[in-house]
Amino acid sequence: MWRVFSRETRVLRERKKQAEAFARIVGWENVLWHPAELVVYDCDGYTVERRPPQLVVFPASESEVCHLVKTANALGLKLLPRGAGTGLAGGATPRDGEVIVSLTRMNRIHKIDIVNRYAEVDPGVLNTQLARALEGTGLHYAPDPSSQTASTLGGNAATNAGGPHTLKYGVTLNHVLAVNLVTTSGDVITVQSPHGNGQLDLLSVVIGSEGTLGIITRLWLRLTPNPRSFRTFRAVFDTPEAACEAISDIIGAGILPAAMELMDRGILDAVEEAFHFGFPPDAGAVVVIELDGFPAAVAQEAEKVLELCRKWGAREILEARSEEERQQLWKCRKMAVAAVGRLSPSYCIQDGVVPRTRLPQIIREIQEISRRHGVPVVNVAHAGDGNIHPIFLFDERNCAQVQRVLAAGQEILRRCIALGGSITAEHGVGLEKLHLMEAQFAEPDLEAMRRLRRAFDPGGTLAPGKLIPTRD
Amino acid sequence: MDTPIDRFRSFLPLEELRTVREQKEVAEVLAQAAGASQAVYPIGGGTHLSAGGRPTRPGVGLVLTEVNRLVDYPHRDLTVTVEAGMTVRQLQEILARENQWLPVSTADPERTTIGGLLSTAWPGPRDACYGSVGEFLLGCRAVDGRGQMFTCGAKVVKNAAGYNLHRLLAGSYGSLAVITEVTLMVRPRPEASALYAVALPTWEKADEALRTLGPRAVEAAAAQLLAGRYWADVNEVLRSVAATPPVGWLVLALEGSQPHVDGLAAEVLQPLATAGLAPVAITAEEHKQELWRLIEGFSGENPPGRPQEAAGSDEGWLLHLGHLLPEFIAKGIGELLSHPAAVAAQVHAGSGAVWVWTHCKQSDWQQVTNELRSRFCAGFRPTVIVRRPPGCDIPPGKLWNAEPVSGHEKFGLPGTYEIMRRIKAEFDPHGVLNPGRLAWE
Repeated sequence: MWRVFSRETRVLRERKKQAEAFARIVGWENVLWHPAELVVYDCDGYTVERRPPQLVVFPASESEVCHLVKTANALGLKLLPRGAGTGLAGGATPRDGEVIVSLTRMNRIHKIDIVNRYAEVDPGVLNTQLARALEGTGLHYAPDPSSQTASTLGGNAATNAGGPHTLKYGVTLNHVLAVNLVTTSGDVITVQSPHGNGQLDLLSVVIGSEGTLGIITRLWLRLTPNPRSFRTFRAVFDTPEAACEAISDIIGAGILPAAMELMDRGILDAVEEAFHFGFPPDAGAVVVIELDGFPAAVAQEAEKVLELCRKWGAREILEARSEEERQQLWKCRKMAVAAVGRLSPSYCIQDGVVPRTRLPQIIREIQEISRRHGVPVVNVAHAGDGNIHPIFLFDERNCAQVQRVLAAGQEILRRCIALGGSITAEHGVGLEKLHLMEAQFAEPDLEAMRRLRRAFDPGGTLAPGKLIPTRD
Repeated sequence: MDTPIDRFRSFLPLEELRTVREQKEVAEVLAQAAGASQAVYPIGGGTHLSAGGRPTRPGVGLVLTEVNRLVDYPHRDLTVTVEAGMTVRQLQEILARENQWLPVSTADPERTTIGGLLSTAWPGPRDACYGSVGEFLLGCRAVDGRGQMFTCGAKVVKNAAGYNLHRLLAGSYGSLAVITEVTLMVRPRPEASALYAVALPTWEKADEALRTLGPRAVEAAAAQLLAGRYWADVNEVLRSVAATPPVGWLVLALEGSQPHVDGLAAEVLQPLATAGLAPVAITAEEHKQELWRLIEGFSGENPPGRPQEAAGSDEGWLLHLGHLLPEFIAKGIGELLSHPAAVAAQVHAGSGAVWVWTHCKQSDWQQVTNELRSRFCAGFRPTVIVRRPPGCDIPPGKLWNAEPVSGHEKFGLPGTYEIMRRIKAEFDPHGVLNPGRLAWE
């Protein structure tokens, strides 16, 4: 007993000594080192695996980040960048006692340039913080992940976040012009797309690199003109399969709505209980379809979209009659996952993607897999992109149930691969899907990724053990 | 008559040409080359060989035009997978059968291969509206400098598994790996289009026109500022828009559904007219095609109507590429074109990409280039030279403006180049792929 106590004291003392080195840079008030404080940072939105960090540090500037990196190098410590911790794949969950670099204090919007259509921001700025700052300018920042009220723009960039409007406007990578990156040597580089100027497109690999290639300390974001008008519909179907067929037909007909979101019966129950929106109690699925553009153009598209919905048996199609109603509908959709908490003590949201025309098939298979593993599932999907989000309902205190959830999730993702898709469309690999990378990619493909990582981080300092399975 | 190897030899020190027909042959050639440390120069349509430095290491020209099969076209998914040697024209014809297209423009679609288009990833007139060519690349198969084939990305429109390695290969000029197969996102063809030209009598008016256009510059399929006498000399339609040659023209292409085109036209044309800039609709199909041919061809090897250099001449054409923030476009181009060697410019107003052709004695290129760059200081990114005359030995560092320029010290920082070099060493450890073309090697 004495020996254990003594070792713990020694570990704690050592940790405090390390904390002191970082405190010299950011101040003691911006370093967490005591185990009781570190517990809060033992996972992100993927709660199935939890491991505490060695320390958490909160820099307030780019130069502080540089100093932190150099200090970590000197102490032989590994680093794990973190935004708001809303990630759903364990990207911000420590793996082996890393020091978390939380960027939430770097939260200034430095510049909004309306004429040149860009914003210059810190990584800790919330996605909605920028959205609010842009109100009334006629411009907006297009990526709108469901977590946007809590997630940071740096985190969005690190995971190449998507969202409902990805369908028409693209993912984060399409909207980042440049970033400042603190490299593993503690230097700052500016990376941007080369557009033919003879440099390598480092920006494209930094976006979506989940903190493994550097720490993003500033972003220049492209701003997009606001649409002239919206028309937002909710179409009620008897089954999710019929809804998916309609979605597939809409894309196949060459129509590209701004968003096309699927919610199945299970998730509608949760949403209805939370928001009392008035979804029919016997609906098998609801598809939220948003069209945007010039009113006459939207009217033309709406006619075709509604015709295809009716072809697949949509029994009720209602249009948002006001901006307030539209916002309410989007709130329902974006808060749908959180509302699942009403159905079950724990839930786990999956993220996979299939070719758009395979959506009806994967939705059928999800139901079958759920039945076979004996774990209830509800579904939301960025259906226009073929991006599924099955949500398993379980009780994390029941170990056997947790194992069944993990097995069912993996089976779904393996089916996504088999259907020509991918194990993740927007949540990233993190810890959760590390082992599935080998199912999606052959060894030479993974080795190519390792080579890229080595070029940025030869010492393996950043987010070790994330994104790519190590060879051993 | 010149054989292909003669044509390529004016830019590359080729010992032999190897035309491959299968993707696996690319791997074989590269594995052999790696073993012998022999340089390999990947060649698609050969339309961009004047881009970048003039290599000196003798090697093999690896011709990919026969690796050109359609692999998969699930058109209802709006994706297509093709081998990299397929030409842009061939691909567009396949897509047109399903009323789809790849909304990118290139100077010479009959010769330019998809792999070549992606490897250079030059800015195009439709980029601001639809996205750059790299943004349509969902995944690819490639062979690295060891001869190791690998795939990256995916075949779906959204994917977050692993690094966007395929995007790293786009624009890398074949310096890391040879792309052999690509999966692209495609789009429905627009049902309607319209083309307008506005004569810009002064640079102040040009600035006013661009400010009036504002964010609509990225909603128009293309918003092109065409400046310099060249345009009037080679295009009757533009001449007819303005009786006396103005400083330039603003050409607007609108594409989409008919109501979208009508709506955008209504928003754009009236304010321009109010500003005293009367837009002229170009309605005849042949006139539209001719103007598009000029716009797409401007950055090509031989822009339509540009005088050819006489054999043995000590003069030559250089094509410069830069980027300007929208608010500086008119002023910046005005300053650039006031240089006596600057003949014509084209600006993609939505993205700020700037092309400038200069013509001067080959011995004066450095002075001209320096002077051009010094006139670019209000901009976003300084100019680089992307096309040089065949015999012109401008060192890659000068071509690509690798040395920091006052006001632009951020770009080409040693840290960035160091990472690029490390990536090169990882993917091409024997340095066999396209040596001597890029500045950071």
